[in-house]
Amino acid sequence: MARHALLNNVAHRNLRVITRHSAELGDNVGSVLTFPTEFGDVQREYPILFRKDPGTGEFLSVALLGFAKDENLFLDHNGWNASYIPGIVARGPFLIGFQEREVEGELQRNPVIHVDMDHPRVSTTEGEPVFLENGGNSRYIERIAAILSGIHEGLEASKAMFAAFSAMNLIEPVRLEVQMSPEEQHNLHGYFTINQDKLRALDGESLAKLNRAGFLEGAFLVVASLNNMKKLIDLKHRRRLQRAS
Amino acid sequence: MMQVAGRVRVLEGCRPDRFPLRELLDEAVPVLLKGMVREWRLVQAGLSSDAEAMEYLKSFYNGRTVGTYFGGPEIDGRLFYNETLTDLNFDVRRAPLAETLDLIRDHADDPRPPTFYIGSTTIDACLPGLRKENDVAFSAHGFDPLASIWIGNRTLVSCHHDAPNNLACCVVGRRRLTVFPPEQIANLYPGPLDPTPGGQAISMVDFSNPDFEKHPRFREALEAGQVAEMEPGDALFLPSLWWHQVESLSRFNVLINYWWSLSPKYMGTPMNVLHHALLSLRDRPEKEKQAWKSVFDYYVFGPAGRAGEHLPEHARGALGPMDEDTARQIRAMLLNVLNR
Repeated sequence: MARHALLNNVAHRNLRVITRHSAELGDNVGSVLTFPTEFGDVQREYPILFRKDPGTGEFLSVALLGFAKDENLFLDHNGWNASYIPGIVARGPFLIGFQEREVEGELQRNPVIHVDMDHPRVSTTEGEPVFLENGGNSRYIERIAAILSGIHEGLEASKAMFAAFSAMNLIEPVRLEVQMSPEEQHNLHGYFTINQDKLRALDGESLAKLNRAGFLEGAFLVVASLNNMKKLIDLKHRRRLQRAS
Repeated sequence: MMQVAGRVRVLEGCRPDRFPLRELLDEAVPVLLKGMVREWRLVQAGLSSDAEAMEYLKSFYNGRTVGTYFGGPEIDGRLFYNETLTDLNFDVRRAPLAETLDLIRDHADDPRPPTFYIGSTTIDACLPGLRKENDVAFSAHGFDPLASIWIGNRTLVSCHHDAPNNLACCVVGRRRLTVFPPEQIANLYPGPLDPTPGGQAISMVDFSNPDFEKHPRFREALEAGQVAEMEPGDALFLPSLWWHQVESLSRFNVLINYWWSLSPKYMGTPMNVLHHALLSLRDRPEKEKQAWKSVFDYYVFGPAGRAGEHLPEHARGALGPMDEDTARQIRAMLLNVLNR
């Protein structure tokens, strides 16, 4: 069981977080959740695909990192080789929580930071200090706060985005079959993407509607991100060659 | 038992749209404005019966839950701490206002009822429209105060102070307010800064049974205190930072109050200054602390213009008249230096 605690500068005065990336720290994963709020950054490195949450049946966005569940092709002994680490990874052991408070009769839900004390990145000897010497916030934790609020906004935006895409029938299943050699083929199941023909055929009114809602850019970023499949295949080839040599 | 013998000055003839606000603020002493809001619909409903007042309130209720204090019968309405001062002696939950009204009604005849108390709830957030027929004309004076409603059965809110100026209107039921000037603070033995029953430190003295061994200086406070016995329709003007204990004496009590500040919005909160001073000043060596007192007297507690007036205007910076831009600069600097 994860031990979640409300982050505070007395109980967690010596808390540090290991920010390097490695398989031991849980980074060797084939895909991670991503959110419309970071599509711009994510599409420069990773293919963005959609998947259905097995629990709720709702669509989610993922950044593809490899062709197997435990294969992150961006990860090697030097760390995670990419210009942008998805927020869900960069947040480390931290989670967003909410505290209710009444201000002038209005109930406000204020975001607060929780920390999973059993997370492998949690340390007191190694990594980035969370608090400054006298209890102030380090730059690191301020960056985490920004990442967490991005994830929180992204979750909201995601729901609205998929509702808009579904209403316009833009989502289609996609079969990803990657032939590495006569013996090695990877078939990725259960993914969806934007139907490019339908996106291009949208009439002016639908385009304007999607644009006003802020999701038109997202749709094109998802389409553009698929070019990264080629990069992923190259990374896979390189890894096979390294293994062979 | 010793009693507060002083009485708050009474002013007759005030109305919601006719009261000497300027003079009240200038004099800055409590004044009981007898019958000022007696014509309010809610006051009239309450004079007819508790049930009528409750129905009238419910007719405006929008269904939102409000912060509500629940105490057991054993606390006898005294919203206070537990024995060890580690927690409060009541629970705070969000509850529908209408349900709390029903609970107060259902326990109205209990010899020792549980305590129900809705404190300081913004009227417009839960009872929109109520102010149309029950309001004081502050806009004519250029103020836009925060208007709140307080609802409960028999309760005792221990002596505390609030930063803004206050006009407290006794609407349903009888109330007794016992007030003390700000300089009585040490004689009232304020409790912890946190937790507190309502956001403000409260006096640790049990006024109904003072322990003069523990709180000897409370005798001095008693001499400086004044009592206002309030009936439905009476309003009490209470200046900023005056201490007040509030006893709600009837089975069902409603108070509507207005809080307003005379200072521009860009100013910070003096309680934050106090916390900062506890952190950074209080425990310095005595000589040093007294030296800082001279510095504060010069820059802060003396005449506002003194520290800047001998300098050319362009060189005064924070020592000149405060404005929004200077306030922003000081705020940015403080944010920066506090985080260490």
